[in-house]
Amino acid sequence: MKMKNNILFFVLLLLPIGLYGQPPQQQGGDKPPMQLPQEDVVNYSDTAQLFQGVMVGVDLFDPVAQLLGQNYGGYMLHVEVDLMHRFFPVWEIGVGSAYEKPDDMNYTYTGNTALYNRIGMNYNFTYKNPAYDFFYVGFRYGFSTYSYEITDISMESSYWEQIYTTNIYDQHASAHWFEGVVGVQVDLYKGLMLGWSVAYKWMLYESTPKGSDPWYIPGFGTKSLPVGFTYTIGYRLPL
Amino acid sequence: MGEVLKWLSLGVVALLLLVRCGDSACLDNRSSTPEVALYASGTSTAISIDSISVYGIGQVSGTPLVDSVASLSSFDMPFPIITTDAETDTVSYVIAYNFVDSLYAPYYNDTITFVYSCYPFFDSAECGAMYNYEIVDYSYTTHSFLDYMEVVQSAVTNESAEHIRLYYEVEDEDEE
Repeated sequence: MKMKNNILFFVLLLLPIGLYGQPPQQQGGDKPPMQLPQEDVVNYSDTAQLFQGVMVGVDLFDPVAQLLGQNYGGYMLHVEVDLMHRFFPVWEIGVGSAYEKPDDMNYTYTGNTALYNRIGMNYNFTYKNPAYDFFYVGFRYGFSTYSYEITDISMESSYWEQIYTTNIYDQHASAHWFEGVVGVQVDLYKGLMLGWSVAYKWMLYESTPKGSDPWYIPGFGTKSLPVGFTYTIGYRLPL
Repeated sequence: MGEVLKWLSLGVVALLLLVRCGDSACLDNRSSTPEVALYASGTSTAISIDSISVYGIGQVSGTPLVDSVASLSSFDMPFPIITTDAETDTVSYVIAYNFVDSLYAPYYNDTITFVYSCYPFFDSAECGAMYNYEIVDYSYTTHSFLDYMEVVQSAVTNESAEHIRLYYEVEDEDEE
């Protein structure tokens, strides 16, 4: 089952790569160059215009990963503004939560649903590409204020022959972090965009309560894995 | 350009899968236990002593924590969990020096006593939850070989550290 899940995960990730760079880049051979529909082509002379459009999308990675067994995640909406088909200011807003009850451990971790925000910018390295497919690098600044609790904590002192159960309630924390991002977006059909990105995250500041070190931070993910993924589907709003 | 980007993208995905499959291990102790080390009086020289036994006073079955171990230089000394609403509790351990038959001459035992508080702490998904302790006060007897005791770190967490030092007079071999 786990292998099956990993294969599905892999196929989902590779889909935009397979689509990326499809015509109009196709050149040579006997086939004539494919003509793109006009709505899928950036008029290169238009790139001098500042405002080129707006893209709105949602992240599918976390919901799918949760269906496949990931015990944390959430939902995210992102808005990108296309400036000169080169700079893309981004706002990502979402909610995240977590629930972890490992079989071989002594606790249940519940991360309450909390809001997070990420703002930043993408830079389109392939802005000369006449289509809306693009490869980008970017950055994000993220922040979240959240709460969680750890319950059913079973403690044992073998020498003193004690077994004791306790809870750690009302843990409130906040975090601010920075992300470096690379990603790909492809225009599937008439402005329907599909893409993925990977981000490496650096914690800038976090406040933690005395009784715990948070395991999951909404928008950041788990602290033991400072890498985030998105797999987005969205729509490029016509000008 | 398109081919380069495809391979770059594939490389990133492969990296992601590797990262996704990796789990960070818990490197620290799962429980927070004070560590006791033996030193020569007035120095920072670690020593080891033969045939020491250590007993917790009030331990239900009378099981020794350390049972006449040869060449003992350090040991972990667990504190009981405070299961009442009290902020602090007290624990005492007896150190018996078996090489002087002190089991039959209790006067030659030493007793070390600690007043402490404790609180539950969640460390990480890998390490789980544990109790951390804070040594508030301490006392000791010097009936036998113990010269004096120091608490060098009062906060007891799951990070490996030396918390308590027991100092003993050591004969200087050069003087013999």
